[in-house]
Amino acid sequence: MVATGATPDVPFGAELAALAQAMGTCWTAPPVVERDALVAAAGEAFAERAIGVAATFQMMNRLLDGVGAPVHARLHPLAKELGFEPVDIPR
Amino acid sequence: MLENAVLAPAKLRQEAVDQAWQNLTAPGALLTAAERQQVIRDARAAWAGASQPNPDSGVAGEAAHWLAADAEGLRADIIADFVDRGLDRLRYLETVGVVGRLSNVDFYVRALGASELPLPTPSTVAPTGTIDPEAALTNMWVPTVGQTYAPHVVDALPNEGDAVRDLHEPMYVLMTSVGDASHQDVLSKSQIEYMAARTSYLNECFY
Repeated sequence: MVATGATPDVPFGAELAALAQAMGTCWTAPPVVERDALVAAAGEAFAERAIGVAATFQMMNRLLDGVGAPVHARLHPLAKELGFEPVDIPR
Repeated sequence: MLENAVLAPAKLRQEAVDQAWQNLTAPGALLTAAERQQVIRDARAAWAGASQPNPDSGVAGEAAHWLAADAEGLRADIIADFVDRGLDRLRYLETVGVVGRLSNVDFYVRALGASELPLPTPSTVAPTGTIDPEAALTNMWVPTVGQTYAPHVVDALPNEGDAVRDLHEPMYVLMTSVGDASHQDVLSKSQIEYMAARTSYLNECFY
C-alpha cells in the first residue's frame, strides 16, 4: 500500500493518499484539489496536520540521504520483510 | 508570515515555521547569512525545475541543488568530490541542514496555499563557529555525535540539530511519542505513519 499508493485502511485513507502523492510529486504548485478534498472530508485541522507530517518527512528524507545514514541494524529484518536488502543501498 | 494561507496553520506550527525561517536566513555555525540564503535560492531553483546547478554558486550550489532535487541519488564519492573541490564536510553538513529544513518550511507553506517566504536582507554577523567537540566521522559521510537516530544526524553542528527537532516535533510528534503506536491527536498514529511512509517511499528514502 505504501509502495503502490493504494488506499490505506485508515479513516480518510483515500484523501490522505492523494495528498501525500500530490505533495511528493509536484514541487511547484500547491495540492489544491487534494487539500480541498481532505478538508471537505475530515476538516481543516485534520488537513493542516497531515500537511505538516508530509512536509517534515520532506525534511527528514533529505537529511538522512544527505548525510549517508545507513539503515539501522535493528531495522534490517523489517527492511528484508519489505523486500529490499539494506546493505545493498549505496552508502 | 503565512497571513495569506488558504488553510490556516495551527499555532504551534506557525510558530515553528516563523522560528525556522528566522534561523535559516541568519548566520549559522560555519556559513554566513548570505551563504545560507544562496543555498536557499539554489534549492528553490532546483524545485522550480532547474535541471542543473547554478554555475555561479560553485560547489556549495551543486550540493544545495542535488540535496533539494535528488538527495537519494547522492553517493559517498559525490560527497568526496565536493570535499576535494573545497566544500569541507562540516560546511556540507550545514548545507544539508539548511536544505532539509527549507524543505519542511517550503512544502508546508506551499501546501497551505500561502506565498513562498521572502528572503530578508542578510545579516553581516559572523557565523558562530559552534561545533560539537565530540563530532567524528564514523559510519556516515559527515561527522556525527553519539547516537545517530534520524533527528540527530546533524548534531555535529548543535544549533542545526536543535533547529531540526524544533521543526520535527510540532510537525510530526514529540520525540517521546515517536514509538508510541497509541498516540492520537488530530490524526491517529496510523494516519501519521502512513503520510510519513508514503512520502519517504516517493523520495526513495529507505532509512
